[in-house]
Amino acid sequence: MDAPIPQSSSAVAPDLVARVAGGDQAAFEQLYEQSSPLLCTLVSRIVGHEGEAADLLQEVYLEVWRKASNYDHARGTPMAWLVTLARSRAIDRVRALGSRGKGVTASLDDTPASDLIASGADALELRAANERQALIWKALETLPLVQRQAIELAYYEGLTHVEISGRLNVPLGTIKTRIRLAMEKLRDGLQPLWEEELGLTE
Amino acid sequence: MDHEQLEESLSLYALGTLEPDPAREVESHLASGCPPCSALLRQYQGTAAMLPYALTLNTPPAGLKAKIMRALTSPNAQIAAPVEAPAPTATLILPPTKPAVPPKREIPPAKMSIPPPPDKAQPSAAAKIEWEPSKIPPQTASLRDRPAGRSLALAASLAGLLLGVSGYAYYLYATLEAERVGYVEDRMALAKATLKASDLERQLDERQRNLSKATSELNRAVKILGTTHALLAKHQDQIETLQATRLGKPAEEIARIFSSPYSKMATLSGTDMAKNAYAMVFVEPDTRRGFFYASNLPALPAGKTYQLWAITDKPVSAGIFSLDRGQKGRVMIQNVPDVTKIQKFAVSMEPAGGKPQPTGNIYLVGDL
Repeated sequence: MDAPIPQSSSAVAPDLVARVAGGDQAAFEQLYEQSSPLLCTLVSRIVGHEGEAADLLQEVYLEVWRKASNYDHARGTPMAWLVTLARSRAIDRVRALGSRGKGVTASLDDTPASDLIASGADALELRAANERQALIWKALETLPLVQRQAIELAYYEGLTHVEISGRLNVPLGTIKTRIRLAMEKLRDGLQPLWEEELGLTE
Repeated sequence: MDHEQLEESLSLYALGTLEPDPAREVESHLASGCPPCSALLRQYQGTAAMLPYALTLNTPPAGLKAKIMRALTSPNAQIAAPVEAPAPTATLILPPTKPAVPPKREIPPAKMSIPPPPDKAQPSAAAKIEWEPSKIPPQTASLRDRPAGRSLALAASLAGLLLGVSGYAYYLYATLEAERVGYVEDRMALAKATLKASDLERQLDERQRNLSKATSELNRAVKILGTTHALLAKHQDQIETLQATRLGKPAEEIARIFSSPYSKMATLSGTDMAKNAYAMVFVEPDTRRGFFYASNLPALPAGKTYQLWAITDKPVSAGIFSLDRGQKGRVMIQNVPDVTKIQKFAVSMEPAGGKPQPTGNIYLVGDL
């Protein structure tokens, strides 16, 4: 985790995916370099077991290699596609194995976001690996705890809002509202990032 | 969902937290073409894609990339090699480059470099495992004493041996991979089937809910209908009562019967029992009502009554009456028999309360 995160991992160019779809191995290598730190982190977070995560990551990348032609730029950025693919494979894996890497508790004590709170905002600024991370941490920090919890459960545990409602024993409408509000706030807070991601700033 | 609800679902959809049904609804809405929603969704997807950056990034395992690149170019590139390499031999025979090239062509150059000098020939570790040892020692033993000229033949046969070993190892590897893939696919199919089953279960639940809702609505409707029926019956009763009241008002009714052009009249004369008595009957055929008026009848003894009879083929009671202070008798007649069948009217004296058939003397009689 002390390894420098390549700045290039912020975006994968759509035409790179097109080259991968065309069978260009060099392009695939580049795509791997740009995306693997993030996907590895994500998959490890969901699966919770390093060996399992590496195994799964390999499957994900081979699927990317095979299915790069399925990628549709109109439906999102390449990184969003990769993250979605990796996330859903990881959640499938966890569900198929009937176990969860991370605790299934809704407790935020298990989640990185709450690690953030524990260490204090000022320290965070210093600890953030780069501006992007600092911005995301800041955005997450503005969310009420219950909203962050709902996002965590949805995103990393792969629970539907109905399942979250059951898990937390909170009315469905409340969960929906929490997620919606949180996503709106994150969207606003992370605007520079997703604009860059969507290529809107270029 | 209406459009507002769809729009509100976009953030949940981007986060992957919608249930399958609403998710499909969102997808079909987007597919139908809604630029504002598509734009919004991309913002949310971009946002969701940023979330993992909040995690402390870790570096993928060092060997992973190489392994993936190798798997990419392996003949069955579709499948990820297991994390633990299956056997040393497998790595040995993996064709180094280019997918879609049959493995066997790649193998000969690879093994060519391997054979050791003939006189130092030892079966490789792989060979020991994969081949029956019994076939090997005699050959090597006998070859040791042969002239150098034959070492070429030995090299050739070892080369063949290694080729065979490689092929077999590759076969094992391919089988292992196929099984592994099958297992992974089975697991995925199972997970999918489970999801589908729970989806169907949800649909069934919903239908049952709808059905019971419809049933209770039907019951309610039936109840309302029943109430309406009861009300209707009550109203009909009231109408009938009102009609009866109206018809029952003697003065009005007498006037109507008198004035009706269809009314028929009979005059009755006293018999020997009451020579001075007389009476009149008016009957209105369509309402089967009538009015009877008698005068000069003898006063009734106690416990007796006069009874008016309409006589068709048999006498039918048309009412009982007593005399008022002026010795007049009156009967408002209801439900006379079919007027066309009435031949006569008659009055007899009967025990109080009347009789179904006349039993006493006749006092008045007259043809209709």
